[in-house]
Amino acid sequence: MNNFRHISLYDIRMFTQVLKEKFLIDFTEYASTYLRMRLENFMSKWNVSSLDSLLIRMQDNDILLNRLIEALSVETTEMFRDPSLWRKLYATYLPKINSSQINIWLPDITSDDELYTLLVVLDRLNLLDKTYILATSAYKVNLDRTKTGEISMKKYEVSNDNYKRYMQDNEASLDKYFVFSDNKAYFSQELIERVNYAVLDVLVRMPDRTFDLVLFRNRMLYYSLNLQNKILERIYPAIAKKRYLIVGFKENISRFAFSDHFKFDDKEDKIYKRVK
Amino acid sequence: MNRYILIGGSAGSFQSIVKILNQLPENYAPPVFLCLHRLKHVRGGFVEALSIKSKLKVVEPEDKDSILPGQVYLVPANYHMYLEVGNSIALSTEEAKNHSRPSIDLMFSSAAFSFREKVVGILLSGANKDGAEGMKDIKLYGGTTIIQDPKEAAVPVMPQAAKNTTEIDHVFTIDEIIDYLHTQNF
Repeated sequence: MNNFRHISLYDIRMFTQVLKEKFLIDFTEYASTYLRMRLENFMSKWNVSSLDSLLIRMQDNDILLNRLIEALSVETTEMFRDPSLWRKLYATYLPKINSSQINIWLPDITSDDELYTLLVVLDRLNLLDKTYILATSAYKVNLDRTKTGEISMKKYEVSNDNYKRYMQDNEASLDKYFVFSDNKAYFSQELIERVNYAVLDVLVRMPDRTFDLVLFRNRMLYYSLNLQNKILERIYPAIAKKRYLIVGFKENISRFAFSDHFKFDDKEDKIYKRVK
Repeated sequence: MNRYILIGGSAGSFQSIVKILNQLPENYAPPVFLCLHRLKHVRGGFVEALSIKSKLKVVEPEDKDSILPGQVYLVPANYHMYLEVGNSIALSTEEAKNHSRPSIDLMFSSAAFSFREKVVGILLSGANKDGAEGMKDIKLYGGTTIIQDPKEAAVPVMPQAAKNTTEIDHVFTIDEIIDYLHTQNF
């Protein structure tokens, strides 16, 4: 580790390599700045002076390992982030999917926000019974966290504010989807149980069906460009033709080898339609 | 690139930034990065307002866009922006820092780490301490630190916080900042 208060990119590279080889956790091709900052915060929180020391402490310590995975898995901020997108899904895209079952996939889930938001929208549309929702992550700890339903009150308040914007109604409230206890908010277990969860690394294995909608917002931010393209190459065949991939407002798939298999259906909210 | 010009600001800084941009010539070489505290639900309008008299192109970048000389990059609403080794931009949805997303601290720190002595960090008027830690990192890595003179700033909290946190190379009025950006041989 160098003398500065930051860790070097070289140290990070070595660390992620050992993490992959020894602990089977792969962050080798993740974006460098967020990874460095998260590792520095983690080391500070756990009072670890170097990445080498962290590796030693993680041996036979699954709790610390899981905490590290959680620390490096960035949450997607809040429910109903980008309310305009969710209004479009509610008003147009979801009702338009004219099939006996709607199949939706959320790959590489790190937190609950997008999933809970989707569940609320589907509930309001009365579409839950005919929707198959798959939420996957390469790490069980991320799925376990999502299944608890727990969010902080601060996040709940921000989400509720977004919900009012989504509903375009200052009186609207997410309250009916939550129970509150010990200064925390817990999302409806009944809705959480409607989801199918699977530990799945898309680089190794894919779901066994195609999907009408793949919701993949603000995940690629944390991948290197190379990893982004590798994962898109795996995901895109799972999107049924004439169906949709949604990425984050400031993400794009233009550098992806098969980007010409998609065209914008909604450029403002980054809804791509698979055309080939 | 020889230099990366980073400008952070909040309450009371918008007109100053417009004035700075308006005075930069068409052939200004360094890229300029603006991190302004902004309403998270308002996606548009900022770039247009900044572009009115700017001779440089003002853009809101997307994730993994390349950093180009002479371009002005405005951090998009509700994202943080990092400047990465390899001259690319990385966006993030991580938690707010100093109640701010975008965070000036995070942009400044990332640039300091990536580009070291090539960074010029400029902190303008604002009502919280965002940017102070980032300026500390810029100084640590050998960059240049400039604050708007607190006596001139509409809200002096932000530049004063930076002054209280780290060594500041120049305390300038806006006109002096413009003059500095013009006369340095970047």
